[in-house]
Amino acid sequence: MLATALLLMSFAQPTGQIAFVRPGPEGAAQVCIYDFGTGEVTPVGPGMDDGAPVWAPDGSQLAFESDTESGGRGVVLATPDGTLKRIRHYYERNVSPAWSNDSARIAFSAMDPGEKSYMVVYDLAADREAVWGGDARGLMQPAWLAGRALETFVGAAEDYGWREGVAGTLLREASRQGALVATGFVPAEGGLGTSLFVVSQNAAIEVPTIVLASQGDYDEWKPATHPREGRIAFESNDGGDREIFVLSFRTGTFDLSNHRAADWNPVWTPDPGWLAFESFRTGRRGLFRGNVESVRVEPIVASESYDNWGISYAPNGGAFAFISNRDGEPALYVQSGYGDSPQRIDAVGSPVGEPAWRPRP
Amino acid sequence: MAAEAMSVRAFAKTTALMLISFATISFTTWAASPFPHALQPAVTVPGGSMTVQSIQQGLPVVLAGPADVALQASWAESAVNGIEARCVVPTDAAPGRYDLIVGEERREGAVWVLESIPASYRIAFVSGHEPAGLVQAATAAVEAEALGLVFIGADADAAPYRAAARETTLPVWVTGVGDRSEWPFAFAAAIGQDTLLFHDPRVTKLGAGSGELHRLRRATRASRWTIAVSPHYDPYIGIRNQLILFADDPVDMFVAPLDRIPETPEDLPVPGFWPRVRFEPIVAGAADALLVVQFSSAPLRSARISVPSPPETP
Repeated sequence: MLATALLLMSFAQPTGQIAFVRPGPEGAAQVCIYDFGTGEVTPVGPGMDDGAPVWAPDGSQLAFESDTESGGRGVVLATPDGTLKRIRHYYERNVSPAWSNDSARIAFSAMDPGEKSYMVVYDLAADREAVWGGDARGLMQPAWLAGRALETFVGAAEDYGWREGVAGTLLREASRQGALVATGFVPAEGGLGTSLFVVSQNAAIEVPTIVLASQGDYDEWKPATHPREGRIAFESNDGGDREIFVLSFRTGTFDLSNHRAADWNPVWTPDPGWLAFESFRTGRRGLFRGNVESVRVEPIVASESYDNWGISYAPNGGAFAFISNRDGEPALYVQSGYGDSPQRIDAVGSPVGEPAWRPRP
Repeated sequence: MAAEAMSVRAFAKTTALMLISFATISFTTWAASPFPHALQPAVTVPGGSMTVQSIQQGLPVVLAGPADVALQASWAESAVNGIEARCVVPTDAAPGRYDLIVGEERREGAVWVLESIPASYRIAFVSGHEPAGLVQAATAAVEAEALGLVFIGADADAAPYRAAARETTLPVWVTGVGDRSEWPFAFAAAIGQDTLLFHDPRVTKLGAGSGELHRLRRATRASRWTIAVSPHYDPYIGIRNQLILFADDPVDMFVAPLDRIPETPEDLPVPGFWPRVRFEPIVAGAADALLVVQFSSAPLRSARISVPSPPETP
């Protein structure tokens, strides 16, 4: 009986590693890794205003942006044992890295000061950068189209008759090399707006209005592609305030979060039927999830008196990590599952941010 | 599907990127001084009310100035500011500058009680950097018949600015200076039915800051006019903050320092969403450095006024 109870308790204990950001010795942000097995924290980033760490899908290493010695910003690769590699960039500022599904390439935005931005893809094996998107500029926040999302896009594009010109190029390249979804600046009434684009090496096409929820100048941001399924989540102020939308190139787009309070930062849960996001519907920032079939929304961790944000799921899908300021400064919390009690990870200290649970290597 | 809908929308030449997704600089300290204090004063009138933040509920709140005035305080936990008290100023309170005493804590020059806040009034804005410039600008603001002054400074100790603010005869909101312990990521100053919304994107809070800015913007959206003020006009402002201030719930005006007045939107060092909101740059040291904005029932009007150079430091 006792043995069974102990066994169940051990199952409930989270395992693995979480990367996160906290102030380093010089006060600037530094990427670190917390290991549940040893309870130890290992600094792995250079501590030069390191940005949000992103694990390669194979769990082998992290990518994150960080300041460079020359005053720019570059993408750094770091392994859990502390090996660092700085990508040799052509452009001065390089931000928002996103791994391809096979962990072989990293997409990011790049620019020189005062210049227009480029979408760049770095090939790890070749140690080489390539500008993607053809002549398009102002692209940012890339996410890789993979699995069924890519298949769905290619299938739909063929049905659209995208065989000629830029569209044909994009379709051919997407089938051969993969494609990205990115946010890009577009002309809008009174200035600039943002819109979603599909990007290949030599082409970038704005997502057709026919698959969006409505026509008009809205500001899209933060596309999130599911690694296997055919849907793309993003946020938009279509409808008057910021909402989470789910797009399929086959079936169109719907508003998943629909609430008068702002909803932002979509994150796919391990269950592809659910999408997590942050919402201010309690007055404070909280974590919610919405079912992409029933459009039912329910709280994950939400309060009227403190904030919860930055969710990251464990590779086994049960547990998740997040940041909360329930005790004052932002601290790292882990929950074994929905409805369970959060456990504060004191070993990482506070303030901390940007947790990323390591995929199983 | 129409062919033009599928064609690549031409990225305008003006399109450029301001793409910091994770604004970071340093966070040597975390705590921020609770509102109001000498460099983020509250402005109210006899019979008016104001918000006082504290780390503890139920403390006595007193205005200490021309005469000590005990305030009636209703304490509550606010979704926006944490613990705060809504304080009512007695109708017989004398106009003037007051220290605010919250429990044992004395906040020097934290409250200005004005005779009235007219429906039409002026606020002056300047980017002066040095503390001596603050006194000079305050004098110019008084000459311009401004009700208050917004002073954008440089990174330095807050103490000299606090000392300089004591010499002024009008409320001065200071941002962009100090050891950052003085500054929350964002704070709002109410002037009657209008709002000055300050945010410093270099006071990073590891992803927490944008949530605070959104809550403040949401809480102040009913204002007649809202002017957002940032001490930094650069990529650190971040797209998320731009979406909050310029796209989802646009403010009426954005004020920030620049090295020079741009001739066209393309001249902006970091083009982005700003053209969608009226932008008024301030150039430190320029002859017409003082920006005066008229708040009234008519659209916001602005003028630029020369400010004498501050005396050189020996």
